Amino acid sequence: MKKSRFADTSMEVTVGAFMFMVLLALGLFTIVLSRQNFFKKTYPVDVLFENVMGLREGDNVYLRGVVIGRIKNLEVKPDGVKVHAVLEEPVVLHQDYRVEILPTSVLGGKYLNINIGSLSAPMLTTGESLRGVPPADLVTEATQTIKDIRKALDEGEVLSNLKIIMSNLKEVTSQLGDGKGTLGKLLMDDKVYNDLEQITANLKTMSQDLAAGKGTLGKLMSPDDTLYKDLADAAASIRKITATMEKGEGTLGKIMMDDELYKDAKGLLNEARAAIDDIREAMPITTFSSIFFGAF
Amino acid sequence: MLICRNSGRALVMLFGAIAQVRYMFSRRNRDEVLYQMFVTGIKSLGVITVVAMFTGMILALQTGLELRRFGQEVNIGTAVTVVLLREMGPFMTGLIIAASVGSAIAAQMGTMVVSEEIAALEVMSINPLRFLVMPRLVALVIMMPLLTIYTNILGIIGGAIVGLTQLGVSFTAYFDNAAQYAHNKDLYVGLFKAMLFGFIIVTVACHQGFSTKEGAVGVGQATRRTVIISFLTILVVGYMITRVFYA
Repeated sequence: MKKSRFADTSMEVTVGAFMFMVLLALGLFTIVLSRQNFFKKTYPVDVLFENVMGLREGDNVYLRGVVIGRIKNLEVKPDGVKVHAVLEEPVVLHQDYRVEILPTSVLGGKYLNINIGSLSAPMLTTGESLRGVPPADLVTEATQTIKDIRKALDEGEVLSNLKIIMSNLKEVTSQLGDGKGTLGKLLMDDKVYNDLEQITANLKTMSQDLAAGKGTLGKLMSPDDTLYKDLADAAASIRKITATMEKGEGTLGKIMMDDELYKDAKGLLNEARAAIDDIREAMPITTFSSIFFGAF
Repeated sequence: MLICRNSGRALVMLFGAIAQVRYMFSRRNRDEVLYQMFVTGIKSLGVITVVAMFTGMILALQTGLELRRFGQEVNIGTAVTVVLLREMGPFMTGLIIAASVGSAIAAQMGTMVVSEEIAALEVMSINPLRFLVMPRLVALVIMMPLLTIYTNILGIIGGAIVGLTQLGVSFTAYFDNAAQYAHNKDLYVGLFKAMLFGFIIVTVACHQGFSTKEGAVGVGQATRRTVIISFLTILVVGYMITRVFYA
């Protein structure tokens, strides 16, 4: 009997402990999922919107990209929808504040974004009712954008120009296909390809000859440095000759460097010119004398 | 026709058992309810622990691997939590309890019918609904939501472990994400579902047990039918509730 009673007690305790722990977990679950911190002060904010475009209870409130609260509930009013938000931090708004509803992603979902405004602007007085910026509907905006683009295409004659361009392009490609014109021949005529192949073959032969040291260029480029040495020797000789000439040694050096020779040559030229002048003056007399005396 | 008749009988039995709930606090019935809670809840914890952990781990891994292709693996917290709270928690718990406890109830009732113990109780003016069905009904209706909470917790923890070890999602990110998009409605609709599954399992099991014929073979058939009918009813009712609350 005692054993049975002990077993009953143990069973009761086990079942009771299990229920207690699970119910405790349920309480914690409920608190976590309700996203309410009962031990932290919250700050209610009401914003009036013309249209909330699907904003729902529980959606997040962002300030500078940080989640600072959530939407508590929505209330439809004659002049719009009043959004009751609960913030975890106090927010000071300025006169040029901006509260807007933005899409979380292109797939859907919304959040409330608070822009406190510029710090230089005067602060909002306490109790002043807030008005939100009407949210942008992505689908409507996209539709409007497409309409605008279509209108611009129609009015700006872009479509007709595109048609002309396409027609021209068609003609060009047709001519290219027929092998007309330079580009067409380049694309369609095998002669150009054959010529290019021939040029490539010639270049190959040339490079092989160069590598083999054939011809003047080949010899220049060949590993055999006889030609190089000859050229170096020739350069050294020329350098030596020019050095000698600079010093005024030898006939050429003297000609180039000695002024006396220049002066002698100049004097000689002057004398030669005077002699020629004398001959030129005496030439008629000589000629006459020759003719006169030749008659006898 | 047969289905309608059996459904009607089962419902009459259920209402009869509910009518007996007022006797739940008598000394004898209280002990029986407690014992049934122990059998239903505590003795099922082992299998539920394994199933719940691996359900959460599988959910996290499957969704996480797909989400990782888009760089969104951090969202497994939401996926695992919402799916468990709304559907998988009550559903898995219902299946386990139907297979283990429901079949046991059907086998016990069937054996009592075959051995004419039920008839003996009636001869002694003991109402079988009060003596046998009501304690099991109360026990299961109480324990099913509790076991579902337990399943949800373990499933979410299993998902968090897979998120950390396989997908590189920290516990903080996982639980933040889970709490961000799961709502109390998901939790309580799931618990409501679990409670209904408790009604279904007890009703089907007791009805099949009481309808047993042809000795030991009939007991086996009753057990088999209990599991099949419970599974199907849980699936259909689960869908209906989801449709009512979310569609």
